[in-house]
Amino acid sequence: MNEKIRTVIFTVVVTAVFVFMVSGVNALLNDKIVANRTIARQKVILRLFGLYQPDNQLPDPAIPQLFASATARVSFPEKPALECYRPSQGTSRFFVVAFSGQGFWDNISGFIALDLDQGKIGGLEFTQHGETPGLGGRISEPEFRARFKDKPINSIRSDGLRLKIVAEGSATKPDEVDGITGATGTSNAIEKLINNTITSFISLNEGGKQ
Amino acid sequence: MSAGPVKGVAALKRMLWEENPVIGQILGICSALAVTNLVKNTLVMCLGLIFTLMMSCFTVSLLRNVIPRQVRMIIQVLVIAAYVIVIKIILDAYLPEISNELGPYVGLIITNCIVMGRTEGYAMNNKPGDAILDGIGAGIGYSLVLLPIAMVREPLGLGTFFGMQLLPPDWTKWNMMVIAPSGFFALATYIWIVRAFKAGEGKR
Repeated sequence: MNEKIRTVIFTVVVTAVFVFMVSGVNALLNDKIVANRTIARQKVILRLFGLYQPDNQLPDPAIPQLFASATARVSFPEKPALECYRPSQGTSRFFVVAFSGQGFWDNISGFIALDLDQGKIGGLEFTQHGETPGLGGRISEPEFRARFKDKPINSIRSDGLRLKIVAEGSATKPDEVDGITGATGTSNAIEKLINNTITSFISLNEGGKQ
Repeated sequence: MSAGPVKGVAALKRMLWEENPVIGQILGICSALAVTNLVKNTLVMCLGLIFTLMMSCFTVSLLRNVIPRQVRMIIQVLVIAAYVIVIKIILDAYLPEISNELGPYVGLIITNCIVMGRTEGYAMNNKPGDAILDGIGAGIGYSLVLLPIAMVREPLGLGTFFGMQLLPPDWTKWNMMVIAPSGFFALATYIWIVRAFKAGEGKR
């Protein structure tokens, strides 16, 4: 009996000590982690506005200030949860819109820049995905994301899509985008996600002003 | 595994070759397959594992005389998990980009059988100093297997090395080398070669 009680007490004490250690480290560094995440997100949005390049010398702590001065949040009464930004200056209809949806393995989220004045995609960035490294994971590579730049968003194809993802290397028409060989599941998920995001944003934007 | 007491530097050295955890004991295979398609991920994984092994072996060895036998495994997992979470938090805070690229791999160190194998098999019965050396040895032994495999898989699969272009851009990428099945082939080939060497050693 005595031995059993000792076992229970020992387990509880050791657990408490380690829980304390882990939460202590977490509490110490949590502010930094949250700040890192915010800055990483803001960098992505600024990059889509063309205001931040990975190789420029802007230090991380200066990012939130630039973000606050250069961008403005756009909210839509019919979809208050939608995260959308526009440049704080000027009247151009250039929006950076957040999207999120099911990928092949895991949720894929990111931001897409939509230039409604010129009717094309301004850029694409992913903030989170769980696709197979080296295959579907290539969606986050600059080369793949660049395939979407300047693609038209206003025309609808005969199959109902705005943009069609085709086999890698076979995109010839402006409304076709090269997919990724070996990652058909991911390519299909991206196609659905991008088309849905564009369609829903265009309908929102035409419905209201800002 | 030999049951005899191996102490000091010998405890470290035997893990590198004689009793290499991956080749000799076929432990840690899951992570050896998963992370070895990129050299950078492999390197961070190996460093994380060495740190975890070192700290867990040390802690378990310190506690070895007071841990009740019935709950020893639970305590070991608890110790290992605590250190791994600490690593993850530190990476998130100071190396957010690498942490982001590694995704779930760091957390998966907890499930690496080598860590529990060493704490249960060695640290539970030996002094802290020896346990640390044993842990470091096992970690380095693991790295000695993973890094060469990654160095073959990444160039063949992606044409790059440590993220830099190594082979000409018109190199046909072997997608096969990037996905897990090729990890089996690469690991099996590696173990085959190493064991052939070992057999040769025995005959001499």
